[in-house]
Amino acid sequence: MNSKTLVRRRRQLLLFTSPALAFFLLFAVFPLISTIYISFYKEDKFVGLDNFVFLFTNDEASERLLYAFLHNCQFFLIAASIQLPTALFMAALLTSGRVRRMTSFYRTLLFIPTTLSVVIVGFIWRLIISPLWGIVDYPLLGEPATALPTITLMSVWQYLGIPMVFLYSALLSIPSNVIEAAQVDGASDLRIFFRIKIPLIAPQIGIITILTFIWTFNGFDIIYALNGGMPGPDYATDVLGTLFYRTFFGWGADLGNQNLGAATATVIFFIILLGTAAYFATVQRRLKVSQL
Amino acid sequence: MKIKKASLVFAMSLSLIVPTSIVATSAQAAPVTLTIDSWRTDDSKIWKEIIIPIYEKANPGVKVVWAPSPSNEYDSALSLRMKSKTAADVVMCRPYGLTKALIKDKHLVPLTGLPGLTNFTTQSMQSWSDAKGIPYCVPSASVGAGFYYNKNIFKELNLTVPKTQAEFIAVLEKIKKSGKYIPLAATGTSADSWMLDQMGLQLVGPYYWKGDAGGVALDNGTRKVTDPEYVAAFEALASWKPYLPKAFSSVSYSDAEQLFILGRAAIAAEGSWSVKEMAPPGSNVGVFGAPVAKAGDKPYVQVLADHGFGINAASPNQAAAKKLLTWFTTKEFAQVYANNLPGFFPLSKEKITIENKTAQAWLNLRDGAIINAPIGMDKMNTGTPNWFSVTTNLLNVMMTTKMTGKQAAAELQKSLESWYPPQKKK
Repeated sequence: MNSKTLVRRRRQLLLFTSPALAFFLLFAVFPLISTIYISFYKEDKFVGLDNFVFLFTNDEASERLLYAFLHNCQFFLIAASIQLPTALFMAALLTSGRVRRMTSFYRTLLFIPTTLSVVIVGFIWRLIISPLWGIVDYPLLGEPATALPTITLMSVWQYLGIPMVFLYSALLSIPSNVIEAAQVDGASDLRIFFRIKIPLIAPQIGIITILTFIWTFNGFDIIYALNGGMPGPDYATDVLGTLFYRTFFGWGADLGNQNLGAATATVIFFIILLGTAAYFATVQRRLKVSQL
Repeated sequence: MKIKKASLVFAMSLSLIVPTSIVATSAQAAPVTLTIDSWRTDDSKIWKEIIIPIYEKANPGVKVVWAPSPSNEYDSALSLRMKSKTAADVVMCRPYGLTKALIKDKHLVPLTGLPGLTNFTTQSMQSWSDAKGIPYCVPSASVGAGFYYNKNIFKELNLTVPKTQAEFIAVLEKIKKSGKYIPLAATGTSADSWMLDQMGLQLVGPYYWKGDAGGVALDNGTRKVTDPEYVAAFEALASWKPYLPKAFSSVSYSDAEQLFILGRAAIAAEGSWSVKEMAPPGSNVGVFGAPVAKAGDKPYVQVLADHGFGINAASPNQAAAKKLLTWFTTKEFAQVYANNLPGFFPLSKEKITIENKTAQAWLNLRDGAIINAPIGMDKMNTGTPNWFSVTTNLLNVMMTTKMTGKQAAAELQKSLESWYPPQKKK
């Protein structure tokens, strides 16, 4: 390749990526930078890190931030430990050949909840588990111990389809000759699944884990739909997303504080950034795509 | 093709000229569109089909648009819109808190000299005035809190309407013993915990803390929430606990309403604003107020200024907005309002007749009673964490767990001491 064609190639690359790049800069990078910018101000005065100092040292604010963070961790752990295995199981079942008929029907069925509005999902589930009108005799959403796990499970139920489809396509892309070779060697189905299939789709499992991390730490909609901007009981379902909403936009008699809200958003951004970076540095790099 | 393009350009430039020419010509002939910001999404139909057409008919050339947003989001949405100068011409005013903040930032127009304001008492204008007493909103409606009861169930179980706290508990106990009905419908979910404040603590409390004086004493810091009269109020509310619906912590506001409407609950702690839902035509529903401790004591009745209307200082239609607000002060408006939105009582001094019997029963509760407003909603709501958020959360915890009234009062006091200057520990 001579230098002239290289330049042309580069120009072409730039041309084709520029629409996406412009979009990304305008709607992702710019708001992010302006959020960080606002978080250094109070009303219209530059105050440096004051908003952050307040968030971490004020009794009330730091307690809310800490609890919201812990609830997010709980949200993530429950979602990851239930959603991922279930999705893997469903995908394995759909690709195993054991489901003889209507594979695509089941696949569609499992994906349908994902397409529903979160408000509808919250509303339906609240009615189903309502002690007054539903089938459960215990106030699952009303007790601090069970409220967050219950909401997490609703979210898991709704979004099960996404990791399932990811893993489904990953499992389908495993060449059949590998499986056949294992079968000829006398490996059982279970052994094939754990020793051959899982290692081959390990990178996808890693990606799903980190996506779940990002989704849960950005989580807001189902909690807001069910419990509003001051999610109880006694803030038991308050996560970083609702904390940010309450701080930035206000709730009830609380008027919003845009600067403090921007500081909260910045903190959330760095939590997710650090979490993702740590994951990629330690785990994802070591997950090698097995070469055949 | 060329001709088409040219005509399009012409049409576009015309559309640019037309609106400016409207502004240029006199305000009389030009059509004016007035938008109203509100949190009363439930009332949209009545505003759009009844109230606004009356005004538009009498004032040709004025178009009024009703543009409500959800109650929980209204305060923050309005203050943001005011800051960015995109709020409606006329805005619905909350009592105290938000309105006082808007007055301070000069987002509302002072209504001094607005004809018709003489129809209101200074007291009813208080929650919408600045420190000097200059009014900024036309008071439109007040509401009250109390209990609805199902007359059929009372008859079946041979119960009489309770007057004292002891009678109230006895009635609840009897309903509970019968096993057929839920004695008292109330709200236990955290999202609706405002109910436990407005139709709980602020309903039963005034008798103990002696109405408005009790609120002033807290505002000034002469009394603490941990003093006996406030603790007694918390305890009176806590005494409801054994009689609430099962799985109380998951009973939402609409659940509680449904339990009463379906006849599964005998009594509901509620407000006058839900007359239409709680006592539809043909139902046999009565109303009673907060119980007192000793027979013969004067009852206290909460009159809650609910909403008024003010003018956005950034609105380009000041004259038209003032004219609309003047209409809001008239007897005609008050009468239309009272009959179409039963349970919202006009604050006007004019004699208004109320057709809805249950709404009239709510109004009758005020006869011979000491009128008072909710406490804490003014000064103690201006800091962080504010009175309202802390109280509603604490009441929710108190009613759904084993927390006692004394513990809840202590927590509230601790929160006030953390920021409210008159209550700070010396």
